[in-house]
Amino acid sequence: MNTTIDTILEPASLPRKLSLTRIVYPISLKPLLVLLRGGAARRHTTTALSANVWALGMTSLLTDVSTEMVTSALPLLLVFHLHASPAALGAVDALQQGAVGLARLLGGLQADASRNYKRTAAAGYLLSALCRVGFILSTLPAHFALFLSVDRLGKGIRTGPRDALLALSAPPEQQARAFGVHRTLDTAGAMLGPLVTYLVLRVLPGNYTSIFVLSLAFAALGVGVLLTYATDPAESPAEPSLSARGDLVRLLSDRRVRRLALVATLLGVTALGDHVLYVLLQRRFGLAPDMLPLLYVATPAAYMVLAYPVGWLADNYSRRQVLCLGYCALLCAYLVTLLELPLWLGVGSMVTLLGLHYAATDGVLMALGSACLPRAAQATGLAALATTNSLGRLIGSLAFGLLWSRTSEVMAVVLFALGAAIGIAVCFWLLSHRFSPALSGSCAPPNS
Amino acid sequence: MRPPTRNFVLFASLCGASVAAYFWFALRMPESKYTPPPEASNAAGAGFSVEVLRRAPHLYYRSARKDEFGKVVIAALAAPEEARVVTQVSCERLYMDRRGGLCLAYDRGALVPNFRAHLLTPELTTSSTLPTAGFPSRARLSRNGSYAAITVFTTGDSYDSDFSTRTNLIDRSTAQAMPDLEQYTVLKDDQVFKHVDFNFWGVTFFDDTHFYATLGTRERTYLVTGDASTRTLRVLREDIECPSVSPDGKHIAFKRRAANPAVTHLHVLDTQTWNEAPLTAETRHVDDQVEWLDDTHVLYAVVDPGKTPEAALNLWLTSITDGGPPRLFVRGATSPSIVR
Repeated sequence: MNTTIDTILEPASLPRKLSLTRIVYPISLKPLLVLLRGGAARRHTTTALSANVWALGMTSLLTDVSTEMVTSALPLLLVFHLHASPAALGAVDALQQGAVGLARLLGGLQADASRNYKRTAAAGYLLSALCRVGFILSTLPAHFALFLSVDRLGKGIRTGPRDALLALSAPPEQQARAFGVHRTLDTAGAMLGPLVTYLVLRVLPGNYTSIFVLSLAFAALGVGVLLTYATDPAESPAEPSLSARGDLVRLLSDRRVRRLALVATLLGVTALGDHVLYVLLQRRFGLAPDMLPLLYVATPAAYMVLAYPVGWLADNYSRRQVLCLGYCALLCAYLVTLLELPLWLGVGSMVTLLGLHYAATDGVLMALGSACLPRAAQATGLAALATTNSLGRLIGSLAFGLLWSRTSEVMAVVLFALGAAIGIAVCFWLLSHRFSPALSGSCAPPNS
Repeated sequence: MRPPTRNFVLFASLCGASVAAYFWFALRMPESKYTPPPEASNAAGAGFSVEVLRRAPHLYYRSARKDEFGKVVIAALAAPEEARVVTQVSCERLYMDRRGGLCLAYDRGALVPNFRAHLLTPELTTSSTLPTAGFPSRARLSRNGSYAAITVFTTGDSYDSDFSTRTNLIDRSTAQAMPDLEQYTVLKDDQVFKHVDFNFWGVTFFDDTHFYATLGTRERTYLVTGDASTRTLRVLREDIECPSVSPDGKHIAFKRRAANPAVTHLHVLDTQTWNEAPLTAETRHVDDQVEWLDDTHVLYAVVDPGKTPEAALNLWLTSITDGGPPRLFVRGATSPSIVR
């Protein structure tokens, strides 16, 4: 527990000097060179990832097949067969976002208090699996909305403990890689789900019950894998468990955690949702509407392919730089919408940049956060990071909407990109130990 | 095998066996509570033909009945329940006139949602097909048939979405989609009115190039009038949704949100005096853009949310003058269009 933040943020022990060029060009070509050379850092990657990482990855894969089967079938069922209005679906989604954030924190807190990450995560997965039974029995749009909300609650509950279990299952120098493996499997599941739905509807047209039955089976298998193959990390008696509300307050008032949460929020603010970018792409490039669903498949595919190599890069080079690089990739995606490019090049670069963005940010932020959090507060802390990050994304989207309504489309993108560039630079500065003495200290909690 | 693995394999086999058993039964019993059987029958139309029905005033609608779900039906206005023919064309929304019409369709078998607008000939064959941006919402034709108007939901099917619509006119002679209404110049009190959250829906033509429609922005709705040739729109009044102009052009039937914002009620606007009056005879929630049977009767679908699709969707007829209660016009039907 005496690992310093320096060695975690910079495992490949890079020059400590932060030159002016580093500030001006926070993203150097070095990650690419390291990746190309490969050998330079191979010693870090010799150990195989623990069985836990694979177990959690498979659980997520199976659960995501299940979830995406339902989410790809529900709009069709609700709108075409049960005559709900699409607007109502949107409203339900918006409502759920807030509830998920809260459930995530509660799930994290429960896991940290009981020190039983596996059981808490399993409870979340089980809750979602039981919703499939609800879907099978549902006949009215309101039933589906209810069970969909409970499903999202389950998703919220399990996120914190699952990420904590992932982080604690890998040695510090392999955490980003572990998250990379997990996110690859997770995304693979998300891409398989709609395919399964399609196949089922081909065999049994209009039989949505069969989709829910199969979805239940996948979800149950996911819970089964988790319960059978995942194990809680060995107890370290030196670390008291986070048991009371006072401990949470202490955790949240810890300067390092606060700073990390601030960074997660700020980075989130610089990010526009895929949805907005696709709309921009459509308006600027005249993308045909039926090409749109293709983007929703291509971007996860890029993410799936890139998650592991980028995680490896983060472990062997610098998580801080890879994280900022990921947000810069998104910045480039904004700029793509401003360029006069052939359609295929615009779409291709957008998909690649978005995939790179998710690969370099989602798991890497968790790996970075995990290193900075006391062991007793892993689940709560990671859940808080995920929640503040998505809160930031919400603020960013609202800000962009406001800019768009006050100025023109192009001006909004330019201004937002400018703001995002400043935001990323500030985050890079906040994360760099040189300018942030608090982050360079030990990551153990202040009082233990 | 280690005991945990053995347990897992047992559990997985149990899951697999249950699913296999379920599918075995499901494949043998194709009826499910949502399933329309793939084959529609012409039995209900025995003795009638499309050609005969087309000689007298008739209506087209989309059937919601169990064995013909989603199919286009043509029926005699005089006896819509008896004199009818179920066609093999499937549409989510449709609108027809003597020159053919517009069918907004969705390919249920496709891997990615696949939304299309088909221009139909009078014989209901497809003359041309255009891609559309999302779930079908409204379909209308101009008075002499030069233009078709379509409204679709563009983001209702995604996770992080709110209400968003896209409305296009289609030039029927060239089968080309024209720029969507958001590209038109909008005037309000003779000033250019522009906001990024503009949504347009519910076009209704009062001649061949001029129409009314709904503009939604910042939680408000407006009645606008538009000109397809100059691509301009003018704001007329506030708080009017889904207008539908009567054949004689003297009335506009529209929806308005009630005190409970989830409920909309029908109202009628007199285009000479600009007086508005609620259609008090119809007290239920109506989400449809109405169709006019004649100059004094409105026809619209009402959804009974507690029932199965084939029982929940019916077409109702109400007089705007005599105050009599709504009359059930056709059972199991939506998206009506009257051809006089």
